[in-house]
Amino acid sequence: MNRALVVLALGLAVAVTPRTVLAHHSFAMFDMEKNVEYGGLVTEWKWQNPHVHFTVLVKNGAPETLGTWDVEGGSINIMTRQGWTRASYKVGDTVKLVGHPMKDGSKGISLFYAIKPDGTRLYHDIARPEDKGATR
Amino acid sequence: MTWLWPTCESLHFLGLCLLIGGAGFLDLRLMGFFRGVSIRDVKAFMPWAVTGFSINLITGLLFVTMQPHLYLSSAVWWSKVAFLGIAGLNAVFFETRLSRTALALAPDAEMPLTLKLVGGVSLFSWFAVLYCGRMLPYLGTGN
Amino acid sequence: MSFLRALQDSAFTDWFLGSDSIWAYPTVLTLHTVGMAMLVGSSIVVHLRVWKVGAGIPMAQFGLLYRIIWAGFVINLLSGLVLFVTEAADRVVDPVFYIKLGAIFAALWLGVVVKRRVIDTDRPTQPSSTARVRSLSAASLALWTTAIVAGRLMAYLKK
Repeated sequence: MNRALVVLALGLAVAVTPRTVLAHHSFAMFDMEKNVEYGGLVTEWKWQNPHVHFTVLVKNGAPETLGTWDVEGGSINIMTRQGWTRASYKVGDTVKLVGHPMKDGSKGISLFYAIKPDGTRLYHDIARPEDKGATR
Repeated sequence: MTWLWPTCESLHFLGLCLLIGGAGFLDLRLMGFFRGVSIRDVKAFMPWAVTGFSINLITGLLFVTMQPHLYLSSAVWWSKVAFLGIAGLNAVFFETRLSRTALALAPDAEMPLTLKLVGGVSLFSWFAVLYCGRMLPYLGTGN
Repeated sequence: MSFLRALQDSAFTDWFLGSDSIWAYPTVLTLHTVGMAMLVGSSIVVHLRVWKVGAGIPMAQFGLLYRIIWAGFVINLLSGLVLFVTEAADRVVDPVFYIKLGAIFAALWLGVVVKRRVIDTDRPTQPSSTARVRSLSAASLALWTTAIVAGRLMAYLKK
C-alpha cells in the first residue's frame, strides 16, 4: 500500500508540472499553419543539440510580432545540412526570419527559415510544412 | 491538445519496452539462449509484445498524421518502416512455417539454424527500428 | 553548485552539444534508449513472470535476463552521466530529474528484492511467488513507467 501511494504521489508530481516552465516546445504547441515574418536583433544565440535556440528582439514590424521571442530550430546535424553554421548569427546581428508562433500567444517561434541579406533562405529542415507565404 | 504529442511520446517509449521485452525474449530463445525453457512458455509473453507493438502503431500513426512533413520526406523514417516490414514478415514467416516445428522441440534441444536465424533477424530488426526512430531528428528530419 | 556549473559550462559540454557529428549527442542519446529497452524490457518480462505469465518457466532460469538488466543499467548510467554533465547545474535544481532517478533506483531495488525472494530461493516444491511479491513486482512496473514519463518530460524542461 505504501508503495502504491509513493507511485501515485510521483505520478501526480509529474502531471502537475506547470506548462510555463517548459522551454522546449513540442510541435503541437506551435501554430504550424501560420507563417509569420519577424525582423530584429539577436539577443541570445545557442548553437547546441538537441535544438538550436536563439532569441530575437523585434522593435519594428507588425504589432503582433513586437517583443522578445524565443526561436526554436532543429538539431545541429539537420541545420548544418541546410547551410547553417555556428557562425551563421551571433548576438547583436540583425535577423529576418519566418516561423510559426505559439498557439497560446506566448512569445515562442518554431523556425521555418531565416532570410539572408541576399534574399536566399536558410531553412530549418529539409522536411517543410506547406509554404503558403508569410504574413508580416 | 498540446499535451497529446508528449503523451504519445511517453506511450511510444513504454510500448517499445513491452515490445522489445516480450519479443526479445522469444528471439533470444530461438537463438539458443535460455536452454531448458520450452518455446511454448516463452511464447506466453508474445501477447504483451503485441500490445506494445499496437501502442506504438497507434501512437506512430498519430505522429505521422499530426506532422506528416516531418516523416514522409525523411529517408530515415522510411528506413524505419522498412525494418518494421522485415520484422513483421519475419514474424509471419515464423508463425506460419516454423512455429509447429519450434513448439515440438524438447526444451533442452539444440536450436536448428533456421530458428536461430529467424530469432537473430527479428532481434536485429527491432533494434534497427529503435535506432532509426531515435536518430530521426539527427540523421534525417523530424522533431 | 559551482562545480556543477563548471561542468555545464565546460569545454567538453561545448564540444558535445555543439558538435555536428552523430557520434556525439545523437549516439549517446540513442545508447540511452537502447539501455532503456534492455533494462525495462527485461524487467517487464521478469515481473510478468511473477504474475504467472509463462508460469511453466522456473524462475531460476532467468539469470540471463538479470544480466541484460544490469548491462542496460550500466549503459544508461554511463550515457546518463555524460548527458548530466552537459546540464549539471540546471538538472540539480529540476524536481523531475529527482523523480526520475528516485523511480529508477526504487524500481531496481524492488527488482533485486523480487530476485532474492523468488529466483534465488526457487524450489520446485514451493510456490514461485506470493501475493506480497506480486505487489512488489506491480510497484516496480509502475515505477518504471514513472521513470520513463519523467525522462520524457525532462526533454521539455531543458533551458
